[in-house]
Amino acid sequence: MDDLLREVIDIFVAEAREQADRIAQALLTMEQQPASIAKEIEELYRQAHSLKGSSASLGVEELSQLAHQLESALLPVRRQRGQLTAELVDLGLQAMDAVKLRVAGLQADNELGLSDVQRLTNRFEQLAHSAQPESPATTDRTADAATEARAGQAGSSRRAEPPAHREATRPTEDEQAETAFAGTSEAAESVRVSIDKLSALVQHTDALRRLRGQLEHHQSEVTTMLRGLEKLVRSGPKQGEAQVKRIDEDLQHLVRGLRSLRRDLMDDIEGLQSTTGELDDGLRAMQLLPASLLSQPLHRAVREACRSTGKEATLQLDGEDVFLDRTLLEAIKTPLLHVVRNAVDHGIEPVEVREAVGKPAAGQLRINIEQRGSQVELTVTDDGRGLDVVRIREVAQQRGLLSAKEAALLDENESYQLLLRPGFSTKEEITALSGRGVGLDVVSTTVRKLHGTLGIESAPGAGTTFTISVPLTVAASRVLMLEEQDHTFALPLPAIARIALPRREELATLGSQTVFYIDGQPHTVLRLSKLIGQTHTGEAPARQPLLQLRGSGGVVIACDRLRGEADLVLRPLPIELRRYPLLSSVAIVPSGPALFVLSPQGLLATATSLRLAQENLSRRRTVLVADDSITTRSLLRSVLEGGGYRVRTASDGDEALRIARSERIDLVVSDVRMPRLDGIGLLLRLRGDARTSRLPLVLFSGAQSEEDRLRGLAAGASAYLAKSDFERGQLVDVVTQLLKEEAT
Amino acid sequence: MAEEQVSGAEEISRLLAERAAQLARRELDDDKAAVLPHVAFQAAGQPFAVPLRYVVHASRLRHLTPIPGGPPYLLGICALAGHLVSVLDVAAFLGLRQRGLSDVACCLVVSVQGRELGLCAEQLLGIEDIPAAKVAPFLSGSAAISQVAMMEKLQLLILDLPQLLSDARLTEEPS
Repeated sequence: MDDLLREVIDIFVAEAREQADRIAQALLTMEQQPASIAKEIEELYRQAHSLKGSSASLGVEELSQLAHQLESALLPVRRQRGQLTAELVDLGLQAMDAVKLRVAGLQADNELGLSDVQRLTNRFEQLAHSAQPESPATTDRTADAATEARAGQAGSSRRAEPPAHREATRPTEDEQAETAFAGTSEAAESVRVSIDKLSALVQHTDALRRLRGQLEHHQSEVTTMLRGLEKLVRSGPKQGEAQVKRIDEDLQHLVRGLRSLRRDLMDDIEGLQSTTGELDDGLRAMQLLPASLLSQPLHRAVREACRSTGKEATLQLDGEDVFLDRTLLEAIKTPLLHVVRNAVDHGIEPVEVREAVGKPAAGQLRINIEQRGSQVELTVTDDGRGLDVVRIREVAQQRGLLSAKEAALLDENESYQLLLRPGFSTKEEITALSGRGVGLDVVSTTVRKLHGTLGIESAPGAGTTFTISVPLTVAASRVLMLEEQDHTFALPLPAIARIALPRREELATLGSQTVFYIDGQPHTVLRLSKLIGQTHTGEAPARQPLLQLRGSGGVVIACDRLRGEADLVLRPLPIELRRYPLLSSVAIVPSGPALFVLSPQGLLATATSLRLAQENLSRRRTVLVADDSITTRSLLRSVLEGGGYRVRTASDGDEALRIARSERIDLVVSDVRMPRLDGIGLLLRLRGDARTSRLPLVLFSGAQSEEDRLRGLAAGASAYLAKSDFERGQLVDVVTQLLKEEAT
Repeated sequence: MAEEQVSGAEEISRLLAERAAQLARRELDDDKAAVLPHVAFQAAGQPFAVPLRYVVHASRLRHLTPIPGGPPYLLGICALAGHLVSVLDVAAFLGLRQRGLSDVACCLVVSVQGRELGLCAEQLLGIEDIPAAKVAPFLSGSAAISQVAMMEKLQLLILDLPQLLSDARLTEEPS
């Protein structure tokens, strides 16, 4: 290997593979969407030109020549003077496979792929000099109207010349499928990371470096203290009051120092835990790959299946922007390939049959990849003939899988499950494509290994849907972050149909409900806080964000504010939270708390029942809880909400004062000792303001002395409760009693 | 001769029974002497203990995210040193009477057969070596607390974590 090439071989190989993938993708797109030829051919030329240039500069003449001859062969297509023939597409795809093989050979410093590259270079050269292009695979702009109408269908894979006319050295279907998937594996071997993500990781390592510095400082403190102790020990027995007193002072000094050091170390440990957690999440996110990596292999699988069977099919792939863990992506490739091949071979009817029953000539295959809560759901739908339950039962009996009596007892779904048995196939002949009865068995086995499920639905004459559902290990998803009642939530972006920011006057009232008109239709406005079981307090902003979820019917969801979109690494919910229909998954936001991703389906299901409860909720009274302890706040919230009250919380007296002055609060329960403004201070400020002077306030204190109690009551507290004597029922009783007194 | 034989057989039976009793007593004594380390903590004013082998992490509680639509005994979810756990208010969950409240909030992350859960604690009391002899049955009405450790200064309710985690309220499907 040339020295220069040796230095950059890894980069060259990665780049050549990517260029080969892009060229292959452009070829497939041009074939499937003739209208895109003008755009795609330029992309193809750019990639081929780059491949030619980089290969030539490193002395890899065979690849440079191949790229050059590919350009020459495609020149008529570029100049709109020739057609993109099926043979050209075939050869182009084979050439790109050969490029990948050859670069693997270069990396291993052997001849691997060289003969393929040379053979294809010669073939392109012949084609470039040939005046007569061969049988058209797709129409060009001059094709007749009827042909154009058919070819215009997106993603159409067409039958072309019979197999006997194909190149003698053409690989088998299986080999082609494997090569196509190998492309995905290669992409999965290396990762491209955005500068933003790298910068975030660098920040985390900076934080780790700072922590290391702090730990080194603490180590020197420990050394100093140890020396002090050793000095005390070495100084021997002491006599006299002065000496003993001095030792006592030294020891006290050391104890204070150790306590301080312990606090610092606890902070350092927490910092380390947080930073390593974020580093971990960042690295996990880098292991995610887009589902779009499956696009090219699946399109090629459909194309080849059509070529083998003489059928026509279009493939639409939705959900390419879903990011999946690379292990999961690798694992689901094979089942998907088998299902797709099975759909073309068994499901899609021949063109003449389809046309006879009034279906489009090209069968329609649709693959949808979607994240649903903690699962990834992949559906493969075809509009073919559907499953023949009677035939499946007959074959099962012939194969000895069950008796006639047993077969008669099977319902439709149970009959479909027979397809997943090893060795089962309804095909009379074994072909390269299917009929060996291993395809769906492989699907079933792989899905089971992934702890997933495989569902089959079918309607005679209308088609079949295979649904593969597998759990996520980790997956990144694009979400919309929104804020409601000081809490941040996320919603999967694909679930949102529309976002509106209407002014208040654009909202109307219908009966007891607020509505927003979309396309002339009233949509009930429901607050997110109500949907998630809380009550909203405070003024709505002048322009309130409204979200319409897909399939939401006549409901829009209002929240306090939108905080933009984000790519989050989602984790499955802990087991005990999976029963709550409002939750979908959970994410850890860097430098922040865990964040719940809400389930759109759960929100929609709750919307109906909440509409009925709306009026009752509006009659509830609001209690403001002020306490600097999150435990106390959570506990008091649950106790008071359990007692039928709305609850607002504040973490200190200052915040409580702001809320009490700006929102409708009926009673305050406050801790005494809080930062910034304590409970007594809060009480005095409330009493000094005409707007809040009569607001009942319960002091809820950890201080238990009679003096504290008297001090609180003297300042104007309505009641005084000690935390040490706390009982759930007592607090609700006191609050209820005070609110009754206030009302009278 | 026949009488002697009977008497001999009775003697053997007696000796065997005596030895068996001695062995059983020794085993019982060994059990009583066994000491199992537990992490002791205080929640809702009540001292609890969980076997040390289940505890994977303990730290101050920060960034607790409340659970929308969740029950009062699940205080929220939090991320602690890479563990993403729900935080359980044990006393509320078990329906124990609240015995005062402290401001200090810690979280004990426990793991049973790979499943993790956070236990909210006001205070971590430390590691207690609990001798089997000091453990007594406790009738609480909950399978998650069936034993109490009668220590010198305090009585610790011993949480049976596998039982706690298999409670229908903490399983995936609503019962």
